[in-house]
Amino acid sequence: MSAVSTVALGRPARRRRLATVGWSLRIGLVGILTVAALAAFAPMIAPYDPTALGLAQGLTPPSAAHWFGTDQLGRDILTRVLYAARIDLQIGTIGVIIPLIMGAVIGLFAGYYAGWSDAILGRVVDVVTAFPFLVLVLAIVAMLGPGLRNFYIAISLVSWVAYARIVRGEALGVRGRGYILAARSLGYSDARIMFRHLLPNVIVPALVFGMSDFVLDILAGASLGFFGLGVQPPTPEWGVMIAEGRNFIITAPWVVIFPGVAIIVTSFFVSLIGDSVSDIVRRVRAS
Amino acid sequence: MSVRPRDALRVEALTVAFRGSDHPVIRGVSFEIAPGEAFGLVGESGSGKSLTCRAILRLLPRGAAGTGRVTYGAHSLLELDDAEMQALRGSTIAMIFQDPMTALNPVLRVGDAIAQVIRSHEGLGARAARTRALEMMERVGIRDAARRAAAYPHEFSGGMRQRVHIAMALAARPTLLLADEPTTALDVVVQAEILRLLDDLRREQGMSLLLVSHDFRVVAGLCDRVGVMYAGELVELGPTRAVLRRPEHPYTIGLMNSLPEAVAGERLRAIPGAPPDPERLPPGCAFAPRCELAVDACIAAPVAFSQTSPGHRSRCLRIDRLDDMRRSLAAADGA
Amino acid sequence: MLLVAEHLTKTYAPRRGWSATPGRPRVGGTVRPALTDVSLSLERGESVGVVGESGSGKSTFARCLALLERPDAGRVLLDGIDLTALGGGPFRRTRRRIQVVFQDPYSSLNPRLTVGSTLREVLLVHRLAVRDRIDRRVHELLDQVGLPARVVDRYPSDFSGGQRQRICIARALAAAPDVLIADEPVSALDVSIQAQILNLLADLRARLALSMIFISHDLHVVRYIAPKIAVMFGGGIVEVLPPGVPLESARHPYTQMLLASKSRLEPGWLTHVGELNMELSASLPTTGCPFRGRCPHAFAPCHDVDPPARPIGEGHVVACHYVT
Repeated sequence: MSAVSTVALGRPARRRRLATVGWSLRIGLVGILTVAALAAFAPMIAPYDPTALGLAQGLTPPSAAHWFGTDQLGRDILTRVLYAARIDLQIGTIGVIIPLIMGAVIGLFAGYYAGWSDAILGRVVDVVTAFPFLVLVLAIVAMLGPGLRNFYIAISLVSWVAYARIVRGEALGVRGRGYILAARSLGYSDARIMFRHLLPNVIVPALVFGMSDFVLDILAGASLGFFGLGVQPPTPEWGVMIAEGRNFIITAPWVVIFPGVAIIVTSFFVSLIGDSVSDIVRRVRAS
Repeated sequence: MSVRPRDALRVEALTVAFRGSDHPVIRGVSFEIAPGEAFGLVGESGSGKSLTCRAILRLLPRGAAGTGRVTYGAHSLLELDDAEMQALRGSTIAMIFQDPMTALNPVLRVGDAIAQVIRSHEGLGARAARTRALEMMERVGIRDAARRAAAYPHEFSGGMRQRVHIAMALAARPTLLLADEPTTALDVVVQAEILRLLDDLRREQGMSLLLVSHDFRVVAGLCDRVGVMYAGELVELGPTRAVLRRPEHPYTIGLMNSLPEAVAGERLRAIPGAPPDPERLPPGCAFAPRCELAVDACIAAPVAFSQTSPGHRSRCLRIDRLDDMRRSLAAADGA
Repeated sequence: MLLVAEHLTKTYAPRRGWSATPGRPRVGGTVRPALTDVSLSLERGESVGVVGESGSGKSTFARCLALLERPDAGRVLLDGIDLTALGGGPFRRTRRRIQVVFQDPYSSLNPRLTVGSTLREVLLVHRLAVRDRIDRRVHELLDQVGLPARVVDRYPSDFSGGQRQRICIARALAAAPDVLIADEPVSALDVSIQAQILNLLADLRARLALSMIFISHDLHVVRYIAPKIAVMFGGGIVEVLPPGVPLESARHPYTQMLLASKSRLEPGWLTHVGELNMELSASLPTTGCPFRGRCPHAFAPCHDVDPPARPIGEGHVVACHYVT
């Protein structure tokens, strides 16, 4: 047997690529994990009860007792910001995961089978994307009634489309590749081909999109909170805090600044992760 | 039409390395092309043959730099500034590539594309350039040129596109043509047609030709002299006839042994292993790890050229042991 | 008769719209089918080569044989079973008996699976090895294609083209196929690696008594692997050369043109090539013999009637009005 005498192999490819990951990914990861940790341990580290009223004489500026000051009802803002983190991270996560799974599965089917299932998906996508995202979400929540659960329903009904489109596009490209044809020749079932061979190779762009979607969902939650259609008081949520504090922007800006900064900082960390991942993907594809 | 004075191309100790790497991808390559001569460069992927072409025209990819000396007549190509080099490209030295689709602008009609080349180098007016363009198209064998000139590249087949590409390259009557794998993407019969076209044009215009290919047979067809490259250096160089009749390097013999028609009926004597990583070359002969005749001296120090017959040289310490390897070739073509 | 392709026909609908592609007319109009009534048979242990250039239909033929595409008409029979009529489970179970090695080794392996996973999956899905013997079988397969066992934990991106092709061959063998279809398996590889892979295929053919269909554009490469050759042009088989008949005895004008214009290791062979009729347009004539546009012997019947395949010797078949 003409054996290949020297099988020259470099270091396993995965390790090589991760080594070049830059600072932005590290900062993003550390940042978001910090936020998540703060949220998780909020009950232990927050100085007060988030719903406790009248801790101070309403609207006191930041001081030693209240690092972020108090709001108009005398509640400690630091505590509320920490507790709100739990809600907002949850909004971002669930608001991405559910549509991602829905959209990915539908996009996978449409991209793999093409034909009429793809045509139907195309039309549905056209209809949903004709409406601005926030308007549609607002409309659905307005119909269903306010609250976090209805918010998730609304987001899922609207967001899945973007994921389906991304996954379907990738799938259409990959389904003609040699290894998919080989899988078909090998008599693998369609399910096996779709989920074991196609999915891992088409999902990454959807995951990257999910990062920016995470940010969008938090902002959507904030917007809904602003309109009173989101999380209901007294549950703290960054958007609701801003909404409730909007009358005091001039007189007591800290009521609005701290939750605002929280939104910005969290979104920033997630964006860093998203950008780095899409960079990596781009470099991997180019090689 | 006047033929420009014919010059010789001299490449001396050309070395090309990428920034940040200590290991050059082209290592001290030297060869000459006499005026009007056709010279072939044969090698596999990683041999550096395509980069050599680009280095001559100073079209190296980002981050690569060439040192050494490349002269074409009175011009010292590596020392010219960008403007001077740009003036030479297309008008004096032209290049054609493997995939004409990347060389042809997809939104330009082919007639316009060729006319553009003529206008920028010869300063002719639109109508005169158009007429010349049609002439070129006919010359490269595109019949019904007037009608086809209005077509876009994607409407042509591969062979036709390559003809258009050649027409563009030769429109300004260069005296040296660099052809980088011009027929690799084409079908067998079309390949022969295009090679014939290149040969005819070359003789007609008294042009020198550097033909780069991974296929020895392509080069055998129309090149007077041939150089075999491996891992960035020339390992054998000589008149085509001599090299084919009596190859003087184990790699050359190995390449020939890899062709089924060369070993008619017998088993292919494939070269074991794979082309090397430029970052991990031995100090001596790069081919030694795959060579059945290699001894310690081969790996220890760089091997210099030895002249085996006039104009024919090879970088091998084991030349006297090659008869056995050559036997399988002789048996095959019955010569 | 192990594998039989009967009267396969396939047409790709011409694309309408403002963008034309070579070979397809601008708007509407009829196009020559990619495959017209192609039939081929393969005995157990036999190897057949298929030679053709781009547009000859050889790729479409390969895909129909591998059941990756459904022909518009015709059948593919394996051991008497009509694969074109099967569906669902029985189809999937039977089709693993015809395996393909594709041209591009860089896109033929799932980049997310290790070599070991890829090979193990084949064995597991088709229950070709008992659980505790799977790893042993995987090592056997790798050994058969000349790769060391330690590659099982590596990803395809760690390998060169030639090595990847070996892995693809191992994957095909893992399914214990009756027929192996090699569709231009070496065209994308360096010359020195091509020879290695060709030798590997020839060895496997001999050792495992594989029945093989070897497709390529290179007549000599095909002859090296498969003694019996079918030459395709314009969607049909124009000549069949049986083993023992030298290539020089080919009678079809296209095969002759192919042989005459093939590059060879003789210095200056180009000057000895005869008159070649240039391909004038990218599309083939829609009636009659597809080769009539370039054939030096074309005459009246060639224009209207697609020449049928006729035997002119022991196993030697030609489809040409001029010859028969």
